[in-house]
Amino acid sequence: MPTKRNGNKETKSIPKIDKLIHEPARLSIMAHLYVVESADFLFLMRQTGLTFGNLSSHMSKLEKADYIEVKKEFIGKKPHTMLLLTKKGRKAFQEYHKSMKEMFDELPE
Amino acid sequence: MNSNIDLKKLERKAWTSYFDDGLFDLMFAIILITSVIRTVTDNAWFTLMMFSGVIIYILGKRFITVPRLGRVKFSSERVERQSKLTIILGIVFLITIGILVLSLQFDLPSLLSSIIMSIFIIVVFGIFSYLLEFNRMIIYGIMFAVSEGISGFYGETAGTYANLVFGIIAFCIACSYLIRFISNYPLPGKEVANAH
Repeated sequence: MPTKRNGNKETKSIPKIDKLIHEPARLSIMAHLYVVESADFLFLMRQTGLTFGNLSSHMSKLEKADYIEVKKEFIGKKPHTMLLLTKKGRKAFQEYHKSMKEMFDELPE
Repeated sequence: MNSNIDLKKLERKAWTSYFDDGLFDLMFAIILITSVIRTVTDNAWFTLMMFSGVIIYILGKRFITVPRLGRVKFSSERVERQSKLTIILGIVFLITIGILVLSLQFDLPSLLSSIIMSIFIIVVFGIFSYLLEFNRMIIYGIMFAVSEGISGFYGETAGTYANLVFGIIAFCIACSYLIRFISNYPLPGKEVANAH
């Protein structure tokens, strides 16, 4: 059983948790974009295992929060859309990762 | 659990998914099998046919892998690793020429030059396997080295048979990976294409 002191420690990091990232599907999207420079929609669909509709709706939320950026580029003569984390998104993910780690580290054995 | 995201593992998984198509295995198999046909028929055209493996690899990546798996640009760390690989490839090319020149100039016994070549092949494939994080590559390195060794010990005919056996094994591995890849990653629907 955690002591009262430990209990306070446990909850210390919780307010720092970014709820937008904390949702499993969005967390997976953010994590995949964090480890690469950029990726297209199909690649994210394959890696995260999300359906088209699901991925689209989560992407719009992340885009609205300015966590991801849509970049149009040409491959040959064809236009192609690549997705990448913005500076704000990258920082938010780093902070989320750190907070989660801290929170779990603070938990008693 | 959310706290347990292993980012390195995630990046590695994304990277290695590009090798799940079996195209490298297919390229290796084609090179081995055409080299056997070239030796048996003594037809120089089959030397050129060996390059068809590389062409199939490039076309396969473009028309099979990317439309099913999507596009990604990996991190600068990964790109750096690939640059190292290109440098190593250049060094390997020079060393191979060096070994060939030495064995011709000093008339090294075929057994000795085969042993040197086998060790060299394993080291090179080992480095490639490590830098590309593509574990099957070391198996192909061992296959190449063994067939080179058999050539040195038992003569060229035995080496040719070894190449044929390893080529068929690689071809079977390639087919199983390719079939699995195509069934795991069907072509996406129109809505995904429109998202591009």
